[in-house]
Amino acid sequence: MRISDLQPGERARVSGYDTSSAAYRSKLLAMGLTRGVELRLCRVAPLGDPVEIELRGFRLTLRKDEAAVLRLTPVNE
Amino acid sequence: MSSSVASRHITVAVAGNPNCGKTTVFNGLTGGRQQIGNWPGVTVEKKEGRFSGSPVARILAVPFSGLEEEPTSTVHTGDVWDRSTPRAHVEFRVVDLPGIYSLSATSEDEIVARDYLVGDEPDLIVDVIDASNIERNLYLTMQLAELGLPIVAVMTMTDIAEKKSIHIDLERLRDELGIPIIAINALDRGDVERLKADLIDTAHHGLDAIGRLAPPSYPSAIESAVERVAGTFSDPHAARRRWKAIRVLEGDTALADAQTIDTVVTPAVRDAEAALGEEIDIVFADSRYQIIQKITAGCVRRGSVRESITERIDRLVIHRVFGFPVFLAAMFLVFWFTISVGGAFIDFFDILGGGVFVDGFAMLLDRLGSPDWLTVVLADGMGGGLQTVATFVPVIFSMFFALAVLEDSGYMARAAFVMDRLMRIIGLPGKSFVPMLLGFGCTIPAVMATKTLESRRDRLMTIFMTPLMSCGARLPVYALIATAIFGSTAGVVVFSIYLIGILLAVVTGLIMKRTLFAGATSHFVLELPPYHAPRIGQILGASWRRLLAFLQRAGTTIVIMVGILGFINAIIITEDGIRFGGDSSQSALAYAGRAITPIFAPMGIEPDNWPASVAIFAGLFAKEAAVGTLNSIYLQEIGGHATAQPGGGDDSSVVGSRFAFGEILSRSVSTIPEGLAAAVGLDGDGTRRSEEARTFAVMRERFSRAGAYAFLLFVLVYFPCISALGVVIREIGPGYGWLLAAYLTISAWALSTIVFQVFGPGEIVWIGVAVGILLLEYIGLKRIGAVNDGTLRES
Repeated sequence: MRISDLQPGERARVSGYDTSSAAYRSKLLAMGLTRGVELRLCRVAPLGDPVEIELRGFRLTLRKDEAAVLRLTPVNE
Repeated sequence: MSSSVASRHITVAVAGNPNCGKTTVFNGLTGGRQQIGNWPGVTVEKKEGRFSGSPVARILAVPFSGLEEEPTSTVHTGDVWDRSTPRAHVEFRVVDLPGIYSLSATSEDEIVARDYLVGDEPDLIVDVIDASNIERNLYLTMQLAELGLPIVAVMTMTDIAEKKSIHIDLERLRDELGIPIIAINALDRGDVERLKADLIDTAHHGLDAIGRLAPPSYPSAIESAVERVAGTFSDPHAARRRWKAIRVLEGDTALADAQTIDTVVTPAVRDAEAALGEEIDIVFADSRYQIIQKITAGCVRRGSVRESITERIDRLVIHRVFGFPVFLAAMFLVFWFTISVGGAFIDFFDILGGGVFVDGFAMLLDRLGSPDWLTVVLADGMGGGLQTVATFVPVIFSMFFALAVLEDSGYMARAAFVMDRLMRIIGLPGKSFVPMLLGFGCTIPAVMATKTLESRRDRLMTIFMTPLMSCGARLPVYALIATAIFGSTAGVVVFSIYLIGILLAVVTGLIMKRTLFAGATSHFVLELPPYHAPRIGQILGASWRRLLAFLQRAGTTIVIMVGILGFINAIIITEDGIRFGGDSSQSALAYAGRAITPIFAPMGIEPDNWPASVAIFAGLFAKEAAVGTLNSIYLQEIGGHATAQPGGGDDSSVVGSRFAFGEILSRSVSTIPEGLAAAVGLDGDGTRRSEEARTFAVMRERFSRAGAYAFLLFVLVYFPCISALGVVIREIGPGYGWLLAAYLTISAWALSTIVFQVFGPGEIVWIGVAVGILLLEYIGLKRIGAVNDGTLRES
């Protein structure tokens, strides 16, 4: 599952990273997108991209295609 | 202060995440004693300040024991220093590091911070921690801890944390971290004074007395890799060897030489990753966040959260449908404020600057018996340059003010969110839209506004595109020529020039993406901070500091460039010989313009239309100067009264037209929203109208329709005015600055030639030459891009 599969309001957990640019990954890691962290898709920008997510109590925006390196698993509510 | 006591000097680095209140803490500590500059080699703003003091006996004796312990009548722990020993005066030098999330050196800001921490070695780090975002803020703290330097934590935003139902047990956090920690409201003077006093006390006791934050420990596979790499460094401090090793293992290869990377680091990473079954940087980050979780588990409590105000605002502001209208409204306000409010003061600064720096200065020099040529050089040249810079003050200040409001309130990040998809087409982040829009007012504030972009590559790309956003100073040129040549369709002609400008900017973006700035792409990871009411003091302070930086840095360049050009323009060449000051249509500059007229022949400027090429030269000062020049020369040509007057400081058309700059800029730009067609109809009084009719007649003789359109296109694209170029050079260096000027001028000539030839005489040879030049230009840019690739690759 990827970020682009989430609907606004849905939650997911980070399960890992695909092979990706080290620089981009290091930014995501610093933001706390580490294994097991739960995130929620808040909304999608007017043109469908980027998306806004919430994790660890703050809001972050990422582009769908770039953030596709994040592997997610759905969270059952 | 007792002179027998040696004062101590302590260097403090203030570190923290973006939006954590770091700037407020820094401002609180240093007050007005700040210096703004740039970090060496980059355009990242560097702020430094000072404060000093001596320890005073306080009721709360132990520094950083916390603000929550209000002094009461209970027994105190007692003074921790001997009252009889003299108390040293402590001088603090405070360096504000850029706001960063980590030290991973993937952005210019992070590189600056890393270089400072590793090279300049502050005595103490003040780590500002946003209480409402404590986990992520502690991530940086973990990386700072690895340095082994004394750290003092300052917790801010506790009020926001309360609103988010985040309750932090400061005592326990202090015990867990093992370092001094103080919670303050950075806007509260009392809190800041206590922080200062705590820092002074701490310095007095000796920084070594501060507990050290235990650096995180990692899985054994990583620890052995760290040991292997650390062994290759010769640094005397073990902690720093370890820190460097961790940085290198996390991918910051600039900290080790290529041989070490090949022989030690790469195998170490390979072994560790084989043992871990995962990329090493992921495990580093995982470990740190796990430690953070352990720390916060006991001292951070989260209650149920009501919907925040930020969420309620965002539901409208970045709504899928309303997002764009809100954005456009915000942009309009910035534009309106910069151009109308700021523009209203241009005349004031212009007249004042002219009176003081040009006329006043000339008079003073005359009194001192200075020879004519020296007066011209100093008053017209340097004085004129100072006057030009003065006219930019109100616009630049109001632009910085408007942008600071957007940044401080938290809207800027939303603007980036809304515009990102659209700007991505040309390979730029959403924020780049803001400087480009300002470009319609004036290129100079637009270039300065690129400071809000994080990556150097994005900044360069945006600066290369902004000159094509037709600035307000170009409108009078279009208006004059279009009205003269195209009559009733003038409005459509001018509008088409604006559209072509936007189109060429997009094309420039696409070209640069494939040539000069290929290779480096920037990723989009942006925090949307909570909104808060703009803090007027902070915004005024930030605008003022940026204005001063503009005056210091760009101002010097502008003064020199305007000075040189003004001097050349003041050299008058006549049959009787060479003299200084007088009719500028006979200046050395005009002479040069006349001499190179043949170069413009393929784009439709015939030899008898030399005033047009002189106007192109005059436009180097400021594009609207071309209008004054055209008018005055054509009038002289047909035997009208020459408008240029001999002698004194106001002799040149340039000075004269710069007088009108404010009026023209504010009048012309404020009319853009009301429709360009209306602006074209602007007329002067009766006599001016009759003069105008006569110049129009001359122009119609000299310009063909195709030639006139080609000329307008040329004015749109060619060389930015020297003030704008001065700012560009200060922002991106002379190499890229002159490259931009060359790119614009060569493209302008080629495009104008193509337009003229296609709609005019249709000489295939010239079309071929122009297309060939554009192709050569593309290849040249690609070559330069390939050579420079390494310097831009950063993310």
